[in-house]
Amino acid sequence: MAANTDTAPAERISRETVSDVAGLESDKYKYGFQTDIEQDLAPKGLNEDTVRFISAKKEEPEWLLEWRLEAFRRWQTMKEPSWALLHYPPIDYQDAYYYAAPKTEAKYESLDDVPQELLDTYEKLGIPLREQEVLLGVEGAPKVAVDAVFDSVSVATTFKKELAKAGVIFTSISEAVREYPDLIRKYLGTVVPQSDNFFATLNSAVFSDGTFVYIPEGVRCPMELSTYFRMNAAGTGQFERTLIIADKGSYVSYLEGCTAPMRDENQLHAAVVELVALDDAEIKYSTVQNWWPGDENGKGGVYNFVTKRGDCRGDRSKISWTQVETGSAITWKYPSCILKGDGSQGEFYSVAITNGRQQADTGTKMIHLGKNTRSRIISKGISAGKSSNAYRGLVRINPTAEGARNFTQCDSLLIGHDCAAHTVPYVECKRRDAQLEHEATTSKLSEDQMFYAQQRGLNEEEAVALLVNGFCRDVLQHLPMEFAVEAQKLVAVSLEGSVG
Amino acid sequence: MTPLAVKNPTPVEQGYADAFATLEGADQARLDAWANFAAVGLPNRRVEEWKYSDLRSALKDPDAPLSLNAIGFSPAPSDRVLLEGAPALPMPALAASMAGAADVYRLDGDAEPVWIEVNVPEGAAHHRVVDVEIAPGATAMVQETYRVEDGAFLNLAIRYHLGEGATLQRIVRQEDGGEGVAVVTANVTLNTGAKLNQTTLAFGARLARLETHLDHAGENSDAQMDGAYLLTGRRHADITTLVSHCEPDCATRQTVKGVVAQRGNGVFQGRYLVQRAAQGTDARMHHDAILLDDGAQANAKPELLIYADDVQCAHGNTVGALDEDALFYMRSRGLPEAAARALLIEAFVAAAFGNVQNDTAREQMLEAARGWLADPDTGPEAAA
Repeated sequence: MAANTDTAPAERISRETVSDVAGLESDKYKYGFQTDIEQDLAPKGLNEDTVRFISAKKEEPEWLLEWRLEAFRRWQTMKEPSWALLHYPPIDYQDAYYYAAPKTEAKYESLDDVPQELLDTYEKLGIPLREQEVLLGVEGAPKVAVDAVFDSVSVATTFKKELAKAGVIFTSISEAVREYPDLIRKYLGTVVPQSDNFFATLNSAVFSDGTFVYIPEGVRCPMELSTYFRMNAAGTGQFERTLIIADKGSYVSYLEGCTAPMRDENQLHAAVVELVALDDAEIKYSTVQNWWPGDENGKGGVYNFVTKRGDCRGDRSKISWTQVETGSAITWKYPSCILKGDGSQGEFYSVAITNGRQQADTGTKMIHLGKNTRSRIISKGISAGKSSNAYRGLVRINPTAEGARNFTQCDSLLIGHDCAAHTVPYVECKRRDAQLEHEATTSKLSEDQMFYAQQRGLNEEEAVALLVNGFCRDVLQHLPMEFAVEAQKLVAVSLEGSVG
Repeated sequence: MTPLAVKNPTPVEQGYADAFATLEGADQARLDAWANFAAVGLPNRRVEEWKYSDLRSALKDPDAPLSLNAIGFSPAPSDRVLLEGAPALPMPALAASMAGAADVYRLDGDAEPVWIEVNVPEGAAHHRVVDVEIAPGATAMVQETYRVEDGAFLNLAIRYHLGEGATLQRIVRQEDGGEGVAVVTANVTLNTGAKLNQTTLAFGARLARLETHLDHAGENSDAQMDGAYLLTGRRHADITTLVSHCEPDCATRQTVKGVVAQRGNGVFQGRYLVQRAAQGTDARMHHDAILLDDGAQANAKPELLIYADDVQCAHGNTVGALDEDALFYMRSRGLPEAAARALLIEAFVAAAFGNVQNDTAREQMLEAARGWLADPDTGPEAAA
């Protein structure tokens, strides 16, 4: 019996992996379609008027407009960072739309008001927005509340009522600005300040929508929360801002997913995510990023410049980042933890897969400030095709971080002769009693394992998918169950065409 | 022709600019070298490669007189020649522009061991370029010892060129430099089948940087690059190695150990760059640091940049305190605490000397480490 339960899912998953690879040979990126819907766009380009336009559209209070303008003025004095191992032509920030929304009234009272095109889009993406559809699903299946962000606005948030019963606030950030101004004012920009970095400052000036979550004291959020980002309009950038606050003793698991249509041009995505965990609170933040990566010649694709940071403000708080990065032409992303509270914990589990001409420079920062703080970093990078994949991470133990502990493991896998894998860790220790371990390896797929898998009847591509899934297991198992299966498929699909 | 100016110069940089401006008859290589330095100036923490070693702020005395006799060679170099081309990196470029010529060793099969000993006196500065050519198939041993006194500045650029199948044992010792500044930049080129065995021991200074650039320029070349730093007081030592694998089937192994007491600051930066052509590379890097006191710090940046797929590359990095369990065990067996600590530290550091082929040299390095451990003034127990 025990043996059965052990092997059955594994077999099922590998079978699914194989069928996925086979089924998607012709159509690799199934999210590449475009939704034809009338758009409301801000004038092209970026100046103070754009910022005012966005703020006015959102009917924002005066203080927030000032906050945005301050960020914009600062942004104009800043230089785009160039230290990452990424190569891309200069971005013309004036040649993009900074706000795009479906033309019909942006805020829908109920799902019945949401235009059918949008509902269809999300259905096509496999994101159920109608609660009854979710409820009609398999009995006992976990419920997931979804906030769907379409270009610059949030179009629907599900399960709001049920969440409200538990006291959980789960809403779009523009709505939160109107309904919970005190919370927003108290926390917005306290983890990632306006002046943090070039892309975060740009986001502070022009952010359009995103998700706001507040979990009250002692509440364990009754369901998974999830935001689904969809970039649809041509020539737009997406700048969403997510703020999650877990009050004392609370727990929340949050997942975001992202896709975009296939386009020849490069689209800019510069998001900011701020997490705050107070005493004994825990936030689990998972990302499955599958923006359009561009075609095999490197044409098009999303430029993903994201600032994500979690602040373990309270004692014994915990923030855990899990990311599966398979999309985007360029990924520049370092989800970090500031471990301020005594006994707080930070975790970072990452799988980054690059294929074709994708480039990723991603990693984490663990800043230890409190006593007995612990952090763990597991990063798996896989490069195939002509892609480049870099892990860049910082572990810093400040003099106040008595008894701090870190473990870091970064493994890179190379598939093919033309790809690159880099590991750039920074370790800074200012405490005698800290204990830091870091190990990294880079190698190609084991020939012995490949031989074995093929000798058992798998073809080359199937064998690669199987081995890579095994390589990523340590990370994928930290994803919420239903997404872990999804992510496993994604791993296989991303590597399609990388052998032979 | 007016030499290029350094942007917003510090008094020290201005001092060098003035000194260079008064030079007469500088050849093109020397002018180019100055231009390469002037473009960057003295590296500071905003320069990524010098993030943990701020040379610009460590160098304070603009009037440090050049001390020409600070160096001793044994045996004497084969030759002294004008520069052929200018180094690209700022510090070797500064050394080249100030020195104008290089001392050259040409070592063949029967060469006796070479000693290079530099002792820069208080408040003085010394710039030097040394070239060592090792003939194909030859085996050479070079021992370098660097000492800077308070307020002194040493900037030495040394180039090693190993012919096919040549072997070099390089031993570098940077003696306790108090408030001095020492920067030694080595460029090592290994041709087909050549072997480098390098061991570095640093006791730190206000700023001490031992930088090695290694190019595996021929197939099947092999390098062992070990090192240790032992720091106390407010001393800083930076062991930086940049290894470039350009050809197939080369190997690099590296073990660096650091012990930092009081308010010392140990820096290790290692980079393995594996080019697309360098299939079959086997590269391993390991750095471990022990911090003995609160206030001590260790900064490490072990990088792997890999462009070839059929390779085995790994690095490991640990930072921590002495193992309390081991200490307890030794004390329970009757060893006094100080002796137990010294024994544990010695065993830890000794791992960095295990590959020194010459028994005398290895014993000398161990002896120096033991001396540091036992020294009541500068050793780790001084503050206790």
